[in-house]
Amino acid sequence: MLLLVLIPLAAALACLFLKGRGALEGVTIVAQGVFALWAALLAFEASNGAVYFGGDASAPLFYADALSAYILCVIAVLSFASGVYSVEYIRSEVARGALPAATAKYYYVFLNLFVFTMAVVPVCGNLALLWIAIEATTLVSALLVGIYRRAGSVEAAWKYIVLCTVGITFALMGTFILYYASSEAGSGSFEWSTLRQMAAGLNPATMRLAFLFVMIGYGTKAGLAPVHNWLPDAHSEAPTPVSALLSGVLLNCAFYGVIRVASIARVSCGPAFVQTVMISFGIISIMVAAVFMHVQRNAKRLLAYSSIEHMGIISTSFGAGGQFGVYAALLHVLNHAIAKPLMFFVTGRTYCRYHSVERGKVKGLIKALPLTAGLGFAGIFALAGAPPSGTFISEFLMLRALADGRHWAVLALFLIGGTIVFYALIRNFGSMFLGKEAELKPEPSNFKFTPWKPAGIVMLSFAVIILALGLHVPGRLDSLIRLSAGIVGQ
Amino acid sequence: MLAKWIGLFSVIDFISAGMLVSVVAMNSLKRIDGCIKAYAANSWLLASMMGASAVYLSEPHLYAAAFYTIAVKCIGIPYVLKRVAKELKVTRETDPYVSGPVSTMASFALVGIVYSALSRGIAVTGFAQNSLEVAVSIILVSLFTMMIRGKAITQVIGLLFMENGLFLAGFSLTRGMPTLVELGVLFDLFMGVLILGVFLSQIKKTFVSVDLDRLTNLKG
Repeated sequence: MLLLVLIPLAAALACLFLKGRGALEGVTIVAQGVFALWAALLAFEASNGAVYFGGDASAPLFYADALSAYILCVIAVLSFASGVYSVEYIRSEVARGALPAATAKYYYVFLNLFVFTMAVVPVCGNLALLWIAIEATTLVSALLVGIYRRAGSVEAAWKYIVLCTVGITFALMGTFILYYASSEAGSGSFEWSTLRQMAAGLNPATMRLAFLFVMIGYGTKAGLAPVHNWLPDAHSEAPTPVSALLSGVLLNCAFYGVIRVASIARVSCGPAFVQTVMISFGIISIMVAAVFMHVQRNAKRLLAYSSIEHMGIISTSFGAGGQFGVYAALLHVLNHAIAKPLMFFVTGRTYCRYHSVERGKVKGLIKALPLTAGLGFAGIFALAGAPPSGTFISEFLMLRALADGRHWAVLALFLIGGTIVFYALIRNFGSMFLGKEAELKPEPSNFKFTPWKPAGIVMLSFAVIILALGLHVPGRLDSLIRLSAGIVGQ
Repeated sequence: MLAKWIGLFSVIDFISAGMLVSVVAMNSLKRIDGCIKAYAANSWLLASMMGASAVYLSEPHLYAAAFYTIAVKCIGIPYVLKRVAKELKVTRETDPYVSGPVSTMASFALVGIVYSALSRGIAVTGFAQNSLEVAVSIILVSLFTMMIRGKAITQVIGLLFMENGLFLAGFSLTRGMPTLVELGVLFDLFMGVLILGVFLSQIKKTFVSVDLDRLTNLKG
């Protein structure tokens, strides 16, 4: 069952040996499609009990429970969407000469390889293997960030790889300290399920140190302020389908590492410590992102800072815990992974037509690309957490969790930050979508938005999903998230 | 016999002190190939420490760990770094932000801070009791190096020193990590160096030099 993670790897190898644009695109889309279906099957199976691969059942190397299956499904759906969207985007970039045709081949190789490294992350039963997989995602995605070879993208890729590698070093240090804590308490182990069982016996002082190291390390990769500096550069300089993957799922992969260690630390050093650390990181991220979004003029950088805000929301609501907090955090992972890529896809289409996404340069998109702008409005309101969208539900549940835990100051700060974010989003995208005069005229393009073209269908369905999640969370999804929340613990 | 000798003369503490000296020395070196040699020396010390503990504890998997470390950190990475430095035609650090003597003093101060801070934290007992302090010192000193140096390649060397410190910490905390984990981490590290090498030559092409001062287009 867990062999499904090898599908993207096989696709990457196939792309390396294939020639011709159609073959590369076809292999990528088919592989990601099969991968997504298989991930859904795994989710059904994992809801009935964890699935193992490698090692023995008590200490498996690879392991998937409901939480892993849930994260894996989010990764798979997004990878499929971004694979489909890539076809149109990369063709357009090759046509205007921004990307050489030979590089486009390596784009597909790296894209599949990137999806493979991300898919390994949630099925690692061993925390050291988890670290290795997360570090591998940095290496492969840096190649994608720098694929344009412009001054800006090379600079962004360099900062990304250096800062994330330094940051994530701390997470490995934390993992080693965790091992040390377990070897003091009996037998040393890297396996999550073993550590979870012996969590109550681990030395609280050592575990506090371990959790702090892991939080700083994976927090850097998850884009939590104040260690987020690489994120706006990398997310804005990458090709748009890759930005969607970086924002929508890669950040969650890193945060998944935090979740696993936090669920051990909660038992061994008491919930109060974990709560304080996660809520502090979360609310600082929300406020920092709000300030930077307020002064931003470039739409892609704006969306990058919005990712920092949303990771802050996930961290805050996970930290708040309780009956609603963990559920809200996990639901928000999905909501953000749908809403953010939708907005990146809208921005990508705008870029294909105007070759700019700066506020003030692009205007009146609603006339040039009416359907794209319409979907964009749905995306903005979803990102801002306005009803009726899935993000509204998860953010409301987070407020409920904060109120239950009597974190009134955090709650007030979040409301202030959320308002600034809403204003920044409306101001930037409103000015892009509406208005009469355009400084830049849209260039005639072969890639007109037609809802029945694959990329159009992806965007349309994402907009429908995010609105539908605001009205009703389907029963199967609800029970999968409940099971995952149970694994993490309240 | 050899094991007894290693225990008697605290060879393991001696080697880890050597690693600390080599990272502090790196701060006062200006020539790039000098820095690469300091890194190689640091890696050889790390590998010999693993070898010495393998003899001391008579653990077969530690022999293997020492072997992989030699292959990747002592031979593979210094070779790649030399090739990259030759290709980029950088020979020396022109103007670090902090002068050599000052940065050496600062690194000694950092080591002092680490020792006093860790004396009240977690206490690793057993054969490698000084290793954790040394490891954290190496990580902090190399982080400091990365901040004060202006060339992209010295930043990579600083990063590699940091990884050596991490390996030492992992070694002392886990008494030799499982082979699979060590191989995975080394693989990531080696791939990272290769990819950083690719980006170094792209920086050279697009910015005409490898001074990090020029990488300031993206802000805010």
